[in-house]
Amino acid sequence: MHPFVDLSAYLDGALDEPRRAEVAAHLAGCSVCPGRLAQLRATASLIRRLPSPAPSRSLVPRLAAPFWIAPLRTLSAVASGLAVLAFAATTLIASAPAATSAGGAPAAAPASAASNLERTDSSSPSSSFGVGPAASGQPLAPAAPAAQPSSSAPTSDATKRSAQGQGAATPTPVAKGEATPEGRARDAVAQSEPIRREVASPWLWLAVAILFGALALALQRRLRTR
Amino acid sequence: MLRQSADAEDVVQDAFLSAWRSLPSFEGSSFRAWIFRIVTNRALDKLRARRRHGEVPLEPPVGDEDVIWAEPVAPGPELADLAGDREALGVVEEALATLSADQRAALLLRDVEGFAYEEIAAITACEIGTVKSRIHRGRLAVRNVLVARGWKGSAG
Repeated sequence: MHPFVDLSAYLDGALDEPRRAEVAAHLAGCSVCPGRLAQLRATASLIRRLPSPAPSRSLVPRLAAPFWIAPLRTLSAVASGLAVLAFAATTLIASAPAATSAGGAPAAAPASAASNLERTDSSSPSSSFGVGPAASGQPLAPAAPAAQPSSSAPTSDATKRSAQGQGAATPTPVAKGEATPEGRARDAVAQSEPIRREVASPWLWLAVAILFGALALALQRRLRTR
Repeated sequence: MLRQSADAEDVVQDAFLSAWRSLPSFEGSSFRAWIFRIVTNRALDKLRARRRHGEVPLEPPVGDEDVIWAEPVAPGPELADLAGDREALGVVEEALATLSADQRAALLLRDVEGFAYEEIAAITACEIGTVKSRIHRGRLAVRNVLVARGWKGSAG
């Protein structure tokens, strides 16, 4: 009696030991079964080599994305906005004492210096404000009065920062208009000096702001292409 | 398994979602087998739904195929010739399509995914003897189709 029914299981190593030994013994002396076993083995190998189709779309991330991307995007936008504020504040704090120690004469020095810095930062992370507008508008109020006493040009700073906080891309005309009448000739000398001293911390904040802004943008893009 | 990539993608995605939701209830040794269990069940459900809608004919009668070993009528190409051939794989696909869904699932889980009989029994929720029978009948049916096309396949 040929063990045809068990040939597949034999091939797959799925027979228990006594049965496996029986089939093996039969195969050794049979003229038909080894050929059939070989055919089954060849069939199995053909099936194994069937091309496996690649999915036309990703089947996993659609599920995972909504759970954490949206809040992370919002957090990144908020963090970016806060970092911009911290950058502006540290810039002012860094430049204000230098201005007063210089005799109070170059009142425009911190203002124009700050406007220089803010011009550079408002161009890059301003897009992050578009992502999370709530982030920039809220913390402005407490931040502005805190900075005022140390600032030598409070009005121009406040307008600049509020203009920036609203996400306006053009705070520079306001800043320039305020800065130039104060005296261009004097601040040309005093301008660069105070910033270079404390340059590490404000720029760190700017880098953080840009990083979070980029992250927020990337996540927003991910959400939109979903 | 489903022979339609759009359906297959739907089934996999659906199964992943279901797996995600029932992740806390996962217990067992093999996560892979668990996922395959969900996906396989979804695929079989899909096939049943298709049949209810009359999209596919009734499955071929499962008789005593295990005693039918068709022999080649004329010398055909050797396995080496056919195996490298795209056409042979096409024949295999066709042959698989004629199997019952249960046989096809068991055979693919074995030959493509490499699961052991015990695992396939757990995945498809049936006895190991049933798995053995499905795999053997399925594989033999594919072999018979190949042989009918003039394949000798003895070079194994």
